[in-house]
Amino acid sequence: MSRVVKEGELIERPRVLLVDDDPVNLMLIEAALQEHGFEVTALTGGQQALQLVTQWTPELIVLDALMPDLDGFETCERLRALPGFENAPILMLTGLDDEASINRAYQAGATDFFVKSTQWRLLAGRLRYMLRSSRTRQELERSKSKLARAQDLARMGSFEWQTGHGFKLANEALRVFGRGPADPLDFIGVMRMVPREERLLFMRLLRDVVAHNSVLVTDLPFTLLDGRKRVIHIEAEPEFNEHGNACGYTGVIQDVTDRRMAEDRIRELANFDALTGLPNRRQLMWRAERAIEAGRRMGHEVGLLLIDLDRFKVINDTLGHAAGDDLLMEVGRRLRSCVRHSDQVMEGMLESVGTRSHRTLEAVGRLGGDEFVALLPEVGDEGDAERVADRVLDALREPIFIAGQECFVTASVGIALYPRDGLTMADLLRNADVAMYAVKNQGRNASALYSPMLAGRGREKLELESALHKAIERDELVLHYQPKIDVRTARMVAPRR
Amino acid sequence: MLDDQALARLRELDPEGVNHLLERVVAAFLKSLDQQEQVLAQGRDAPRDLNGLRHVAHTLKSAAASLGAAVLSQRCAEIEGLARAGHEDGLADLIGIALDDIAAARLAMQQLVQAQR
Repeated sequence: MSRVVKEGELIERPRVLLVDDDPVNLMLIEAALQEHGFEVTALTGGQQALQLVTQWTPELIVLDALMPDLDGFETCERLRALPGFENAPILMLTGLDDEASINRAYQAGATDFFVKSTQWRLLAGRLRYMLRSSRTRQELERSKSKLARAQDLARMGSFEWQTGHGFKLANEALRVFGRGPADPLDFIGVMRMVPREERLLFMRLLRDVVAHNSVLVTDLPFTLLDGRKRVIHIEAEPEFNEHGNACGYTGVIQDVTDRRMAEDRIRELANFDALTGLPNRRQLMWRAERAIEAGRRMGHEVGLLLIDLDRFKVINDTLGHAAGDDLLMEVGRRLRSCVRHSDQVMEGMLESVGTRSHRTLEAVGRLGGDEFVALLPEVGDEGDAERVADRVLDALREPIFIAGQECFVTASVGIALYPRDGLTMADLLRNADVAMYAVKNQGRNASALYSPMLAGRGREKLELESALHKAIERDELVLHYQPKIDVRTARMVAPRR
Repeated sequence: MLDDQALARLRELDPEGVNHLLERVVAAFLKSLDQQEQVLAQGRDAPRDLNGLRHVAHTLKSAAASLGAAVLSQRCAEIEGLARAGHEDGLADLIGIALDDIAAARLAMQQLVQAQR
């Protein structure tokens, strides 16, 4: 019966419970309502009515106000107390000019009153109107409870903030803050859960939003009374009265802690190395590109140190991968202390911090395996970069206690500078690699600046290597023996290879 | 004797007469009238049950109006008013007249039902 039915289109006959002690009236009203499409159950006393509704639910109830024993008012009050009848439409029949009865009818919880008359058509019209509004009300209640359920599920709730009426959180919004309806919160109560610094920023934002009648959209951290920390998303729109003046805000809050945590986690996984927690290759590339851009704009040098551990494979193979991982973590910690490492940089944040903000790009990151990179966004000269390289070598001098034993680990550091040794991150990285290999060849545990000569040597070596590979493939290697001749005897004593 | 407009409205509720509404309502009226008459008659002499008197007058007022007994309905309204206010002066005379009205209404209704047949 949830259909909204238009006047004159009653498809089903609405069930009316009619109670009047006077048989004449009862008969007449019953006949009148039946004539107008209602299905009437007529009773002569309130007690009978209360008994009947325990097993049958009418859609409308019509009560005569004055009856012997249980009168209409008392019957109405008792009906209202029954579950399911809190909002049932109840019409009270009163006599003409009986204002006292009309007032009592409302006090007893009647939906409306009707002055008894012989104009039965009017009563039918009134009942039909009550039925329609009751059905609309039911629809509304149903959709309200649907909304409330959906909001609870989404950890969401609404609030109102009206000039002159103050700030009010709906029950669902109270639940977002871990409170019940009996435990309301005013604006100050809500703000008290926000850490001071964020609160000051928020109040500034709020003043600005209200001054311009603009839309409020922000996320705020809260510490609930039980100590839980939540991030709550707030969205509100200004409301205007009939004169077009702003008269307050209505909005929605939502607990977005889980989403925020997931987002943070995703960002962390995408930008940081899982083992050491240092920026990963992707994050390093991002930082280096911005550092190079800043260097180009402001005309300073950028330093890139490629740090490769010496003989890490030996440690890994003899002590196991777990020990190798522990070692990498400790090395990461030590390297981090060699620069003004900053974890904070994330996409989009840089522009807002000011002209020296490129300095926050400074970091040590892990490229992979036992390869680390130190990015120095601004160096005065190559000496600056070499000093950091020395700090790195120094930092590794202390033994590292791994798998029950002291380990000595050293590193080879290759240094490349923007713009001298390359204009892009890829160039800088390749040349730092060349310098690092030069160190490895010269006995490790040192640092070297890149120079084109090293690159030449490297290239020669590389070319020779691939030429030798090809020589084997093409069977071009020929073994020559050189005779060793004893000059005294002038005879060959042995072949020399 | 009976108000035509009220009777017309009554007939509207059962235009074809298939439900014999008029007969049934008159029968119900006459049936309760016996008891109501008795209560009113007792109300002529003190001490009176003002509450019972008021109740009967109230019920009879609307029933009489529904059946077109306008004079009786008006008289009952006056009795109800006095009883509610607790004014017993003149009540006895008023009830005396109402009892005459009842007799007249009863007769008119019996005739009405007979004419209907």
